[in-house]
Amino acid sequence: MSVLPPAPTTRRDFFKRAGFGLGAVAVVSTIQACDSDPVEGDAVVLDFSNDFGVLNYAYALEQLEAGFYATVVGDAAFSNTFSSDEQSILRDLAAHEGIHRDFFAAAIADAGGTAIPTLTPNFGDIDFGDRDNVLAVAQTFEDLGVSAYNGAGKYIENATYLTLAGKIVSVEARHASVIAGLIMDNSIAASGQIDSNGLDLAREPDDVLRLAAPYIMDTIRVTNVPA
Amino acid sequence: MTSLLNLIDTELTDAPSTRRGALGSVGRLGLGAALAAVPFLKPSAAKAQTLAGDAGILNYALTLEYLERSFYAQALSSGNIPSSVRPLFQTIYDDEAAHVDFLRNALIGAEADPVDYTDSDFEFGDFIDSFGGIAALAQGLEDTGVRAYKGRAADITTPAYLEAALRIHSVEARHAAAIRRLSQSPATKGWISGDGSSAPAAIRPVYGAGQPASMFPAESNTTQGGINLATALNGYTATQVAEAFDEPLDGSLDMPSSTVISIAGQFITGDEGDGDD
Repeated sequence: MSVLPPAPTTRRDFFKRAGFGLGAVAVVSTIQACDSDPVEGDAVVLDFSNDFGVLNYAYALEQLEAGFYATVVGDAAFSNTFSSDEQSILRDLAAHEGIHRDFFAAAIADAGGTAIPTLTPNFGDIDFGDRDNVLAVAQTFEDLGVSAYNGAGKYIENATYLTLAGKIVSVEARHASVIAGLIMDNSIAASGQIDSNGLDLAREPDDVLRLAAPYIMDTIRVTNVPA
Repeated sequence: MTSLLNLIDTELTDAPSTRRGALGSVGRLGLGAALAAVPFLKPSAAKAQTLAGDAGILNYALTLEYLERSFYAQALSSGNIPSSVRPLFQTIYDDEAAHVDFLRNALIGAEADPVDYTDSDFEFGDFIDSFGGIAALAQGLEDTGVRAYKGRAADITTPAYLEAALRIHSVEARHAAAIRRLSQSPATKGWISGDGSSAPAAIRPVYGAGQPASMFPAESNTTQGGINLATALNGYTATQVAEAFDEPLDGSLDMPSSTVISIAGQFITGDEGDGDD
């Protein structure tokens, strides 16, 4: 192990930062130091000419999800907004997504790659005290994540990385299903997510990043996607 | 510490781009066109020969989809599913039936020979006789499906097949999560938590290690990419780490002793391709 993500000093510090990728601070400290305009965010390029670009793409999405759920469970009204079962579920999701995020930061560094910077979230339009709003955004993020992994699998060259992505995407799909079930009994997906062949959605990186953009201050673009 | 990711690092730049190379020819086409363009699936290929390569993997997947379709058909007609959750079972049945049709059509479109099973080729014994049994076996079969697709995805060389397999894989995981909560109180865990030791004997192997265990660890595994995340990451329990990753499982139609086929084989009582109905 070359670089291990540091623990947040306190939960309070974590939430004050309101950043998503705390686990990656050590990895990207030099990049952050060069960021002259942290408010508007970084310009991040995901180069798909090798697997590190795809891994960083996954890392960006996991930062988004982890940051969202950390904010959900850290909200002052959390225990009033959600039932105890829902709180338990959302705490699990916060842990899983934090683990995914920190795993990618560690694994990219461990393999000799450079992780993208800690991204800055833009959750200003989300009402974290409103159950339906939080669950709707959770469903958007989980379904987006599933479709992103499903669409990016074919761009991963290394079999070990492809299997690792598979290990994560099915957990994202489990999340998506449970959130759908909280929104509507007996539901496993938002309308239109599964087609008439019983296939989940797959999205290309450009589509995913366009849909994620409203929630991220940084500008992320992808290059060298194999034609 | 030398991790797996270090060992394979050189492959990132040095390995020939099998899947990437294939993308240029078929990756952007629709699946039907892509399948028709696959050169190694010859019209004359006998079924036995289709057990190799991508067609073999699709037929492996198809076999598992027949198993699931039959299970849900029998469960829905058993009278043991409460009306409150019947819509969920109907949705899942519809998905499994669609997967059977999709994979059959994909193989036929590629002029390969799909395996043939009917719903009556599978028997589920006592599991069908109660809702508890139905929910338990449904969970086992869905989790088996998730592990099975994951175990062979990286073997698929044609991008269009890989993407289709991934899109089925995540639907199976959605099923698995919804079914899993039916047996719980409180119903909060749609993810695999713990080692599955409380599952009925027939489905306990679904949660164990496959063959070899180094490639197909048990679902309680906490080491990913050579890094033991339970100790390397701060702030998470080992249980949370294990929940956050599903594990692949070994399986192949031409290896009856493979873990997935051993599990599925418990329920296959009819003969493939005998045309019964």
